[in-house]
Amino acid sequence: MSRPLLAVSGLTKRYRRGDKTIAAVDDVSFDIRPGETLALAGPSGSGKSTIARLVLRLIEPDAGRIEFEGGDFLALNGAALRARRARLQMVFQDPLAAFNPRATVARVLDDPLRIHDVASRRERPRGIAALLERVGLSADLAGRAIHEISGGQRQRIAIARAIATKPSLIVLDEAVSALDVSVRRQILQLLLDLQREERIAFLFISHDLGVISAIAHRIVILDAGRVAESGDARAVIGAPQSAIGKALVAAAPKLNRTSTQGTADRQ
Amino acid sequence: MTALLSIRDLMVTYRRDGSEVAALKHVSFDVAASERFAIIGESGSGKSTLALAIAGLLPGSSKVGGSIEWKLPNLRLPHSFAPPSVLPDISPTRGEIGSLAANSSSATLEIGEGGDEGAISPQVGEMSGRTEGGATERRPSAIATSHMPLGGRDIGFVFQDPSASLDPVMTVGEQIAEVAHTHLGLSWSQSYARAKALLERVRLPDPDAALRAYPHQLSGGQKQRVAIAAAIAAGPKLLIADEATSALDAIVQAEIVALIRQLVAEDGMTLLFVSHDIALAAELAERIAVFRHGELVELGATAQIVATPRHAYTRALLDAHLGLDAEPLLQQAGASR
Amino acid sequence: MSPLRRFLLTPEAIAGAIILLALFAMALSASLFFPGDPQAIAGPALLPPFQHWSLPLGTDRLGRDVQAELFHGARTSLAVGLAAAAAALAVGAIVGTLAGFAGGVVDEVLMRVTDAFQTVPSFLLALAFVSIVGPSLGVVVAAIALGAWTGPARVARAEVLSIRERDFVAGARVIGMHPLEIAFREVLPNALPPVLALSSVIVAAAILTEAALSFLGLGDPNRVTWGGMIAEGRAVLRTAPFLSIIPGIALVLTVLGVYLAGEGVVETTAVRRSLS
Repeated sequence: MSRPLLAVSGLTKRYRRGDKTIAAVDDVSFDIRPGETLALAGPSGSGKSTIARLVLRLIEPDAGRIEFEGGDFLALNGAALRARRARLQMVFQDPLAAFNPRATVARVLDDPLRIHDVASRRERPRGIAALLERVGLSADLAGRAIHEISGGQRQRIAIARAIATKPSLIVLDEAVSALDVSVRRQILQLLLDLQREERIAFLFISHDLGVISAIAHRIVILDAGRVAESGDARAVIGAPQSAIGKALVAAAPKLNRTSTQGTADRQ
Repeated sequence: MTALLSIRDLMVTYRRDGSEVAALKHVSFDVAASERFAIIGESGSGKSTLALAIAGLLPGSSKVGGSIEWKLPNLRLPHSFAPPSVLPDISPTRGEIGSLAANSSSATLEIGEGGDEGAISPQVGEMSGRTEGGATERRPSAIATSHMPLGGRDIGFVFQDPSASLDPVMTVGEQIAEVAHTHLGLSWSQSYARAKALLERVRLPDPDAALRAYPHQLSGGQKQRVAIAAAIAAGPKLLIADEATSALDAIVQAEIVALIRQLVAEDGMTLLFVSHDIALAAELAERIAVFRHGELVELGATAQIVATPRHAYTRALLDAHLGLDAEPLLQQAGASR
Repeated sequence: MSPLRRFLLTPEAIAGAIILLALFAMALSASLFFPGDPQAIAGPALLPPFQHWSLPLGTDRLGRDVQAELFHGARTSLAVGLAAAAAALAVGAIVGTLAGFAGGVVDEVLMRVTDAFQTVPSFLLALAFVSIVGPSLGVVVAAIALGAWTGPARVARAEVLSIRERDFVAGARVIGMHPLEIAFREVLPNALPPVLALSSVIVAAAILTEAALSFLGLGDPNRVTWGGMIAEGRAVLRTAPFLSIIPGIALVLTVLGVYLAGEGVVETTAVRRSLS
């Protein structure tokens, strides 16, 4: 087995509400290997998004370790942390909220290239065009404002921004949940192509087991901030052991396309 | 089955920065009384506009043509065919033309409806018995002179985001009781008693405490239960759920869908379930109407839509659904690694 | 519809814009129509208005042309009003953004300083500042700005507090952007609209404060100001009331024009925001 790219152990984050302390994330551990997709699933309030923000150092944990690319990620600060961020990127759920409302496509893609010195000022327009092409968009889009393009295009731009600095891990926080089903499939395909070609690992956060079973290697199911069960994604979804796993599988809408009998009256 | 509402040649146009955007184009279909009817489509399909148009909640700046005709029992107030909020924008001639056109074009859209049209089925005794006799005869006339139902009393509406649809500074009890007080003419104490009973019906844990709670003290699923309680407080004939479960996680979504199914069955309500999720709609609805770009693409019984879709777009929507049994995209990628 | 067209559809905006345009025309044409020193003697003292074709608004106690003074005074009023408001808005926006974005100790310190400035009446602050440093145009601008930046700072901070929780700020952090760049390039531009909405009130208040300072003799002595003209006319208020009334009317119209135009702009942007 190859060495883990990201190793999270004993991760804990508590919030104080009034005089009570609530553990949003409680002693969570998991690994991600290079080029692998690990799904985090669970109902809302299970701590999925908090884990995403902890792993990205957008918030700080109360306890636990995060090792990324063999180093202590929590020990990094200031300029060293900012430099390291090139290797660990994120795609948000709502592609409109994820960008400065005043930004243009070119500016959004220029930022990571400039901040991490990926390309010189003169080379950057070509870098932007290459990124757009990489995610299946026309280079003409560069001059457009973010609010002028469609939701699917925006999510492609978000992916282009994430891969601009050649990361080894991308955190996808419900990255396809807000998209129309037909667009969702194309975005998933794009993610898989990128993973295959550049060996990027994904931490894929979703409440949709259908999407998870389609693209994830392994799954961690969370319940109230704790790991309820984990393992091979299709094995766990096929035969969940934990109560929350069973509830999630039971709740997923099923489309019985072969039957001539309608499912409408199923109680 | 008798129709609860007949939509004929409905057109809705929004004005946006000077240009006009057609949100619905020549839409015609019937919804039968007491059926569970799903409207599905992707963003920009016009499905929410349709829900708002039926509920009479379109913004005043929108232009509406065609007719929405109701066959509700016990309606007293005669109204024109259009929701009052949009009346100033509609010229009567436009409405007439729309209705005339509807009669000629309706045949093409009724393929999926089978024999629903016309004959009153004896099974639906409760509804058909109270339906006004002249309602069906009136429809062919050029001028649609149907009665307008009242939002809140005859139509219950559940929105996607309960945090936005509930008043943050009113207790849950006040919000539900207000509906009962306004539309049923109950006294305030009777209204509160009814609110409590409703909170029990939507299975909110500890209804007594919930009556005094403010919306921000409840979880997303609990808020949506409160919104449903408020929507059915006046005993509406039609319940419209516009993406009512989309903001909720899978487990809560399944619970809310089960709750809606139960309430609709118990009260004999007609359900209009608006969703982007064809699998979810198929679990709940008896008939499904598929919309794209403001047009009705396909309408039919759920089993037929799911098993033998006629339109390529419906098939594409079904193919795009990733169920637990869907073939993994991953292996295609993994194979070439 | 373009923002300009929408702006021109509101009647108060049109009225405000006309007044402001006239004022700018006065200020810009002052040295064209009235070259030379407006404080030079131009005719007999205390000539009432509409008596002599070359001195339509009459002369003051020293025989200076009131119309020339009015035109040159428009320059001072506008320059001081706009400069002081711009300084107040800039300082307020920067302080508010830093406080809101940094949080913690930085926020505490900056907001207590803001409190301190806010508890002292801004006119007293300006009076004290000018009497210590001495009257000149730059000092008057600074003195007025000193009492006016706290409002914009509070509004900017409140706006920044909500904007910094948005996903795009997290996104900027994830790509490794420097915190100062995030604060001033990502957050501040999005926090500006409500801050700029204050500008009409601040400009109007600044013009009034400048007039009041000049009235008390604390304006720049080398420049004609409307406040100074009113003060001059006060001595002969019974015999020549026009000397105080004419600059007074100019002052009222200016403040009204600034306010109406500002309201029009706010209305226009508010409509646009509710549309999007």
